[in-house]
Amino acid sequence: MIVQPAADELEITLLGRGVGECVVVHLGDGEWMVVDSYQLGGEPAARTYLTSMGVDPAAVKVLIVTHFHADHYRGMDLLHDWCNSARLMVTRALRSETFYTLYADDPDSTKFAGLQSAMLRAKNRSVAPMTPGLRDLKAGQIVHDGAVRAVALSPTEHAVTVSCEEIAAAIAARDRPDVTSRLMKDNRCSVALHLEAGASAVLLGADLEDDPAGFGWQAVLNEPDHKHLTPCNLLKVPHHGSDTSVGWDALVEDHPWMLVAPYWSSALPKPTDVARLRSRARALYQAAPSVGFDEDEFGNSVSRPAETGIVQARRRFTETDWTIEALPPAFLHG
Amino acid sequence: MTKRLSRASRDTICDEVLSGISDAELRRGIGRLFAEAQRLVDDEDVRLVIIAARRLACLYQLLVRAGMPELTGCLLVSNRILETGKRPELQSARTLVLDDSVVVGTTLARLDDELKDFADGETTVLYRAVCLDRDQRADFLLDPLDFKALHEGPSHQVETFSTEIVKELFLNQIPFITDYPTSRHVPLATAEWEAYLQQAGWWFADVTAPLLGDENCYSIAQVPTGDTYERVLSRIVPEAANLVDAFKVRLYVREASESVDVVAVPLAMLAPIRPAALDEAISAICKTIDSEGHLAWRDWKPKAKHRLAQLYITGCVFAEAWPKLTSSGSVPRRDDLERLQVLLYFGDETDSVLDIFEAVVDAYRATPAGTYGLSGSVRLDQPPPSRLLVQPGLQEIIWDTRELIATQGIPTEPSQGELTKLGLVFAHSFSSLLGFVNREYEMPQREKIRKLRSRSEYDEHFRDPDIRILRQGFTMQELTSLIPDDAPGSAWWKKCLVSLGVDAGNDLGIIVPVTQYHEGRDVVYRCYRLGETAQLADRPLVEVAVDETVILDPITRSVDSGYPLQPDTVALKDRRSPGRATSLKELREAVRNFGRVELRYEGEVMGVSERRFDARLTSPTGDDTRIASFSINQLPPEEVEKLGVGSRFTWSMIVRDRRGARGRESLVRIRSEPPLEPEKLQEAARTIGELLGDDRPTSG
Repeated sequence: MIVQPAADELEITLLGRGVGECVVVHLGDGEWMVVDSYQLGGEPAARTYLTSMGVDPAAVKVLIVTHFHADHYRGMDLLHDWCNSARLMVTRALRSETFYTLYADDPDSTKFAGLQSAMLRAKNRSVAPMTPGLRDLKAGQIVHDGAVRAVALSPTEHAVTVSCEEIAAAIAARDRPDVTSRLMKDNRCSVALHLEAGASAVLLGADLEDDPAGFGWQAVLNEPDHKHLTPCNLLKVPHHGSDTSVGWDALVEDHPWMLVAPYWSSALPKPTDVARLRSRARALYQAAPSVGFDEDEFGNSVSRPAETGIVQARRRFTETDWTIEALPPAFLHG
Repeated sequence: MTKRLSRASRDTICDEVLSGISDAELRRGIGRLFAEAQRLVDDEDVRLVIIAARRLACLYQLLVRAGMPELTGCLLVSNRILETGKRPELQSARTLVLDDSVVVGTTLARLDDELKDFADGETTVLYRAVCLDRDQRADFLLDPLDFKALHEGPSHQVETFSTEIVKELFLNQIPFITDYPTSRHVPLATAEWEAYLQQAGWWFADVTAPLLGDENCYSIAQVPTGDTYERVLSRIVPEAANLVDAFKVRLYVREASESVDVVAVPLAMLAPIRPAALDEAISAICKTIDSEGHLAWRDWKPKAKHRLAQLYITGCVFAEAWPKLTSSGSVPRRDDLERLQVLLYFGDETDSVLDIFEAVVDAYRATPAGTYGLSGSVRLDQPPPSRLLVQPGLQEIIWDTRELIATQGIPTEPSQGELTKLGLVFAHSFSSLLGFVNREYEMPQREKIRKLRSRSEYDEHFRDPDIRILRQGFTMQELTSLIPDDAPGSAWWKKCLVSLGVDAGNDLGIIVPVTQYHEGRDVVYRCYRLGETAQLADRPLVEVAVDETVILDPITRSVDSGYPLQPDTVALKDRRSPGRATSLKELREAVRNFGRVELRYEGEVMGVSERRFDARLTSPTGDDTRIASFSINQLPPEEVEKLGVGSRFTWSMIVRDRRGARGRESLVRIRSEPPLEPEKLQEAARTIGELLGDDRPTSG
């Protein structure tokens, strides 16, 4: 049994699997936010974690889908069922109604893992007076304002517009796989979050990358509102530590604590990525082991089963230093 | 004065009509149960009698038709009527609940809670049943009730009783699959019947299940082709048409040398839907039939509203099919329905329902095909996935069964003048999924329930009532996982196949359609759960070859009685031929040749190069996630072009032992996706915009 954090304690916990990433945040006073989701069997990882601490589902106030990659949204519908008073916030890569439309007539309801259906339910539910249960997220929007002030740094208005235009063109070409593919590729519309809490801040980088120019981290830095953000001393490393995502540097302090989740499909983080991050970090924690493969007699190369691990970081709001625990198979790069 | 029959006369009716029920005490017990009910009405001031089991309601119909007097002096209804919500006429100081057989007692305990709540606690409820399973009863559930069973017996006796009831109902053309109106018996000349089966625009399939029927008695599923489906829906108000997932007509047939007797049952399967959308649909329906004031449906519970919408669609389907079934081509009227069934399910609303039925038929006939354009089908409401599907054992059975179906034959799309027959492998597959659930999960759960000591302990254990296996089921969409992705035939036929597989299980009482409401998701939906005869198919065929000492289930054993193993499509003139006889030996051989699935994954393509593709794999239960790089040459050439980023596929490794040698086959099946149709999307976008009350322009 994991003990819940104190009311004045910030917690950033990275749950990771070879394919799957989820960040659980204690916002203070027993309130929680979950950023992204993956699933283990019939259970969303965040629900398993929160339940193990005895957290009441009503205490979960915000659920965020940073982008439309299965390793970031699988199980979000079940999570939303469990804590259905939470507000569901979803990247505005596509306006939500277009997203519904695209998959409304798809006979394969398992595609997008029921996310579209959860979005509709959220839309039709108020979590407070005049507060609909669904919100599209883009740069500048405040996700939570309390002991922790959480703000979305991306996607920028430009990224949203271009993404919608491209997908509309793919729809006009009647090419469903292409539409899906474009939607899935849309790391540029990932929602990066800045969490300011007491003496320092946290950057949750989602899968935001540097490219294409004008969309990724440089675009985030170019936003006038982002010039005066408190530098972060803890970073959820974006895009699984890849060398295509390094533009966050100006937003973090020297030698921050870093948490990274592997992504086996691209063999991330690569050894060179780990070396680069370690040279920059005070400590680098990885939520699950890196990938390993076996080959079968048909020439198929299949990885070993992905294991799930937990990196739990906590600090008092009034303090700056983190206490970090890696529950195996999560580990500290030594 | 209530008309009473002597005990001997009542026993005689039961003996004559229910001769297939072998145990005389239980057979006659059915008649005696209704006699006891009449006594309680007459002598003990019972004013409301509720039949808790659909089978018992059907038996009541059958016995009344054979001469047993109807219950009088009380309101007699099915427990389904409780779903409409609290109504003064359904509140009685003394209520009697009737059941045919009681196994554990959980259903009665739950009903008792519901009735007490219904009457604000101011009611005495009596429970009476024909028999009680003395092996499985949970005393702590039944003891607090005023419960009496006419007989107690061991589980095998109760199971046999249930099975024999199912067979008797089928032979008497009484469908117990539906709460909705069924037709009266329609007498036809053989030539008229053949002409009916010849009609274009419908597929006809003989879905008579193993163990049911005889050489003259069988059951047909009349399924609309895609064109007919669209044509019928274009005559229905769009708000209601959008709810429809599928519809069909079931026909229960008894043939003599020159004549045929048919009972028709129109069925409509609705997609999962939010009650608010259901309200809009029912309002639109009411406008077309001008009957806003007939039923106070707005206060009904979501499940009852769902049934009402279903009733409307079935009325339209009836209006479509009936004129061709009757030689006169007549318009269906209230007398064409089996009145007693309507009475049981709608109680004192019966006349209103019959008025509405006629209005629905008239409105449908007054609306030519093409009146309403088909809007983009918007299917956003989803129930939660079945909890059963994360059980590894069940997933193994699903994957093995799917591959077995693929190798042993999938019923093919019939042409006009042909009839498709299911075959045992196909029919058994759907039933055995529920049979397996019964054997592996329900029976152990019953054992646990019996070990509990009190009702409060039970309530604590089932604080989340949805963990009760009996409440869990599969949606039609979840059942499609039994159909191989590369099955031959049109997409529409493949969708219909699931429904045909379910038909056989329905008639056997193994698969029970239920309407569920999920409060968290605020969605009402239809799913299929296990019935009391699920043990008839509790040994999935893939287990048959593993161990020859395995005791086969009764349906599998029916192969030795002549039920064909494989599906067949025959000319209409051969409709009554039994098909190619097979044997258990042949069945075992077929299953052994198929082997077993050793690895099973669902995949999503992440990248494609000239010779390989990269994918993410997830085990069916979701516990095991991997990534992989596949060699493209495992795919048939026609499949290669379907490959793209985002494509979904299944990957199975099948292991076969042949002549002492063990072989493995890697099988990749790409799931096909329908092309996008911008016109339909545009329409769907508009609908969704309205649905969401969102005035922002869409970007699609």
